[in-house]
Amino acid sequence: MFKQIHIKNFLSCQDVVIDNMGSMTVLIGRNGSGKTNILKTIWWITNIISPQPIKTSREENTEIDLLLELDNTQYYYKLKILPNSTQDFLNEKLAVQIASDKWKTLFHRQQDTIKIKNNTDEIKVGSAMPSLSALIALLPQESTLRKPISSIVNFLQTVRYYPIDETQLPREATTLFTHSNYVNWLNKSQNQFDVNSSVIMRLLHLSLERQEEFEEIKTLVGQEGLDIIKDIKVDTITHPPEMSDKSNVFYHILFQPSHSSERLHYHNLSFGTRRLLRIIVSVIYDKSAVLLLEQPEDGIHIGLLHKIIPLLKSYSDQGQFILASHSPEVLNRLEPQEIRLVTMENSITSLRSLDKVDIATAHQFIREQGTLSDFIETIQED
Amino acid sequence: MYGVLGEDKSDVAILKVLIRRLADDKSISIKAKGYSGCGEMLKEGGKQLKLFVKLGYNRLIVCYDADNEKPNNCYQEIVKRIIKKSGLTGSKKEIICILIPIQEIEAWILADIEAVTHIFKNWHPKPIFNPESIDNPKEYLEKLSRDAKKRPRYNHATHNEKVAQYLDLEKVIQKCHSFNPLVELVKSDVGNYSPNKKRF
Repeated sequence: MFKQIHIKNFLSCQDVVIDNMGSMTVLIGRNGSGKTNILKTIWWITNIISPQPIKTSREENTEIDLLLELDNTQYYYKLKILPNSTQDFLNEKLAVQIASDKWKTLFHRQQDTIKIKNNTDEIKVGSAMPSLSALIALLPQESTLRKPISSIVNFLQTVRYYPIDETQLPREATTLFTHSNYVNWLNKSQNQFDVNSSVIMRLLHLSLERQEEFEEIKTLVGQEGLDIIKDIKVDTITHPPEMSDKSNVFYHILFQPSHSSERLHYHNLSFGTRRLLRIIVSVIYDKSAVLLLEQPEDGIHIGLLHKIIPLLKSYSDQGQFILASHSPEVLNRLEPQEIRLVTMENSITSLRSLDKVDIATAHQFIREQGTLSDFIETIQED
Repeated sequence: MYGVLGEDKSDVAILKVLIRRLADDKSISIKAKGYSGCGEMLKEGGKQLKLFVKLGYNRLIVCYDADNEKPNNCYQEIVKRIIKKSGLTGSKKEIICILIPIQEIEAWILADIEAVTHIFKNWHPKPIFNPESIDNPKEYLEKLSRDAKKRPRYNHATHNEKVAQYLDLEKVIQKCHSFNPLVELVKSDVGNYSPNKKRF
């Protein structure tokens, strides 16, 4: 997981530090304060594992410092992007913690040259090409550096940003679709992850290939869980019969909302129900190491809101959550140390955690006087 | 008719289920208000109790987790900040029951933890003999589910009231003394608050 993220000069983040991160971190702030920019920056950071050149549009140096904890090992990674009129240059460093306050550099890189610790060889890369993917490609199999780099790459590959908006409803939300539609989607999704990937197709895939997880989603949304969808029915229609290539197979998914006898197509479900379903499917299906989630409360009835954070927290062993929220109901389900206050002044985003005094005062206030959202409202700057 | 206050929406959800089960009557009318923490309940609870009585709900329950505090201190705090502020006296007209689960209401679920199998088919946790001795029972229960990699994961906000439907109430009575005032109220119409009572 991310333990600390330090962003300098990217989007509206001139100098933003998110420290002491745990399994849940929630950004709270007014509209336009830069919460989305922070989430998008964290998502942008995953470009460091891409084989594509990194570029920013800033004139100042962009710097990213990460503290990661993977398999009980702490890693420190630093990236500095030095803009240039023709192309950007990168400086990078990766270190591993070997004892408390003791770090060992694994590699460092200046512009187009990577130097690996305890190795006199130098590796040359394109000056805007991040090192991690280059090293995975170039290092021999027996290199001890492969394992930590692979851990970091695998982790960053599953950091995903989930915006509020649902992109255009897929065709299969409203009608029958063919097996070949499904296969095309499956091939595409296995090659490239898409956060907007069809909920319908993911549910179909689960029902066909990962039945336990399909049942898990049904339980979570059903009567023994959130009680929003009584049943999810996946119909397979074969017509005409007796064709071996599955070109005669059609699928049809219908949802029965709780307290209703009707079965509906996905697009006929309410906005809030679709939103909750998308969140739950994303948690169960995507297996993201980090979920960057915008306003999970959007469209959700207040009676259900108090269940969302505990539900997400119950899956915190599977993934780390970094959320942006406006909702007092969401806020009141958090611990004070999980909150980060985001403000903007002169187009610059700032972020702060609650310090020890704030946290102690918050606990006392919650115990004796009011809610965490009341407390936060009081300490937020105007 | 019952009016219930709790620190948390999931607490009042459990209480509604348990009241109806103890009374063996699903049609009992219950009004409940779950707050976002004990501070809000202490601040606003008095007004809410008064409103319950105005609406005709005169069997009143205030549920306040002891956490690591002494139950008597919690009792006095409820009396001072909610009951007295409400102006209610616990007369025959309204009967008041103050519940102080040790350490949290989730201890009542741990008293018959085997009940979770009704909701989570493949989860068969071992019985717990002294649930009120467990620190942070809510986190204990959720961690058990996470550690056992149960699918879906148990979370108190969604699952407490579902499991409460299946609890063996005799086990809860035997293992959790903090449950008994609720039993007394529902079965015998006897509360545990009076203005003259000095100790919990």
